[in-house]
Amino acid sequence: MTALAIEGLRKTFRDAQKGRHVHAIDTIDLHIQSGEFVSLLGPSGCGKTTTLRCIAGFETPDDGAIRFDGTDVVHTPPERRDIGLVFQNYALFPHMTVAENVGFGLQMRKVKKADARQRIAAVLDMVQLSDMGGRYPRQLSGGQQQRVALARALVIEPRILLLDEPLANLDARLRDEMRFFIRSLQQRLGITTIYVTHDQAEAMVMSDRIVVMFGGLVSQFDTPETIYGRPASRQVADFVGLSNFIPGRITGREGGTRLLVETGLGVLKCDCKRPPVTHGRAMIVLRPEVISIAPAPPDVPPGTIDNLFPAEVRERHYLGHATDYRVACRDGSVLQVLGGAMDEVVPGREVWCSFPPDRSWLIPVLPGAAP
Amino acid sequence: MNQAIGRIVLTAPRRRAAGRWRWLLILPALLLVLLFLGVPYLNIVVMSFRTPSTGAPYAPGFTVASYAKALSDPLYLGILWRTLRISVLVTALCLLIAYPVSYHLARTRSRFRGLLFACILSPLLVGVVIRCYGWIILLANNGLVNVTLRQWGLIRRPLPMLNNEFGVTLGLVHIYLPFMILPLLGAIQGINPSLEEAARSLGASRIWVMRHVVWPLSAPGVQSGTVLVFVLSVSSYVTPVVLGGSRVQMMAPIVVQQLDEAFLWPFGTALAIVLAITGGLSVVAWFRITQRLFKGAL
Repeated sequence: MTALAIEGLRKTFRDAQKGRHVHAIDTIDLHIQSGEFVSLLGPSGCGKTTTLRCIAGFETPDDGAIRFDGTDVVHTPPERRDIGLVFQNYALFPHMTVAENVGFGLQMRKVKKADARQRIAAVLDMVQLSDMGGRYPRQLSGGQQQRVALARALVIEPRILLLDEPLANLDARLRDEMRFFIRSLQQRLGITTIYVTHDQAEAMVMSDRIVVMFGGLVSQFDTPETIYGRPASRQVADFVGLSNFIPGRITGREGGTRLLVETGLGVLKCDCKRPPVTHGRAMIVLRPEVISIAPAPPDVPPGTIDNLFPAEVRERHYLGHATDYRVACRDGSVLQVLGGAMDEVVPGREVWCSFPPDRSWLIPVLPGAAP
Repeated sequence: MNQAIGRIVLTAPRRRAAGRWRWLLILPALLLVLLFLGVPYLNIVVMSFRTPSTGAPYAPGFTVASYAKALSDPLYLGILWRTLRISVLVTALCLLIAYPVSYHLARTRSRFRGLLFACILSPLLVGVVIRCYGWIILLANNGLVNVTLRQWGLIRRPLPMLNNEFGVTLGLVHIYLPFMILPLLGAIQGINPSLEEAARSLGASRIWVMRHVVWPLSAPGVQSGTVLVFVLSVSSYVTPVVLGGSRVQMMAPIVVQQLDEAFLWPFGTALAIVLAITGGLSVVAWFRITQRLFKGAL
């Protein structure tokens, strides 16, 4: 298996219409361990696909190195990089049968016919398409085609598996199934995998670590838990999951890690380990499921419960597994809360909201943003 | 709900009625073809079986003598053979030259793509006759090419490039190249570039990708382009006359000669029918061959 290092990667494209250069990738450094599943996550145009294409060898970076186990491959053509590539549109050869498609890479490697036949059968078995070898791609469903594409990429036992939004063309149910299928296959084979997606749920479920990219730069590179629970910036928090942002000013410290934040809702306590901001203006990030609401003030002496504040219910949407409330606080800000269905919590009703200090997170206020 | 059912009941018969009269839409085209192609063709077929005459276009009675002559006289068989030979050569050369151009044009993201496209189409704006005379200026014994080569001292005597098969082939390739490029361009544009990238990632070199992915998938374009150029070459008239002169005779000029100069309408039409049938059979044979060549891709 192969470790992948990307060092100082840069790539600009000439915009034909505007006649100027656009940074597709603006200096990226990534160190990916052998056998790791890493997702490149970001909105379209963030440079994730360009990064993947640089790794595959279809784009030559302006600057920087791409190392497979320490060896720079920037000047190696794609056919000699030993990569497995799966495209969003599957890119199966329409004039070849499933078995011929899967066997293409083996043919290139001059694997003996009998040997190849065995490996094709084994890999088709792995993607549960054993009896489809004689069919043509157009005779298969989208999900089956995607599995053929996966088999074709895996049969050559590539050093690195690259997947470019492979599930984007599948329907929701199949996509869900394929996520787990690809992840378990990857873990079984222990193959280093780079997965490009704009679907944060997909990245969360599958990855060991996620690279969140914006505007050709890496905003955060960490485990799904950290990205979700401790986002590096508002952009990351906004892109990954739903968030409430409460602007304020850090006014003090209580104990070791507890910070006091003065906000429109009063002084709130945030207990976070090494937040990206520790003094001055800051934003509290609260995931909707972190806030709990109650129809009446708790029957305990005041000050016992941290971060308690009143609000008025504005909207209530039943989602099935949870209920989505929009509550307006005293200062006019509206928060999104995900909680259980409570009959008495209806629009117009006053409720009490609270959140545990250790489930909040602090991020810097973007320069130029309103306080 | 009831309304919806009502609407379905109402619309169903109307749709069937539309289907019944739909063929009317092709009537103008059908009439045009029948009247101005079908009938004259029939006339040609009938004419080819007429008895020749000297004072009139034909004498009373029918005969197969014209066909017997067309298919036994070594002169005409030779001309037919030359016509087919040159046409095959022209088709092959067009394919060879057009393929890289089409591939480039299909894949380039250059700003000059539009300009390139215009360059390829622009010769079509100039008449065939004018283009052939243009070649005379270049290829004649005292033409641009020979004069230049002589001045550079590369040759002593002018290279014969006119009134021979070289000139005719060159002219035909030049004139029919766009008819090869356009179908190829369409076919190659229809091939998703990610197929080529997939092949590269699996270890295929550029050449291998061309041979085993792009080429077979462009088969429909290859097929239509080659058929188009072959048929056009077989029936070409102006180019062989202007660039081949009396030494490189091809079928279409000979047919015209029989009708126009020799006033042998039955024999001329018989030659035309022979040409049409051999051309048609060649195309059918070529379809068979390509079908086998591009198994799975067509």
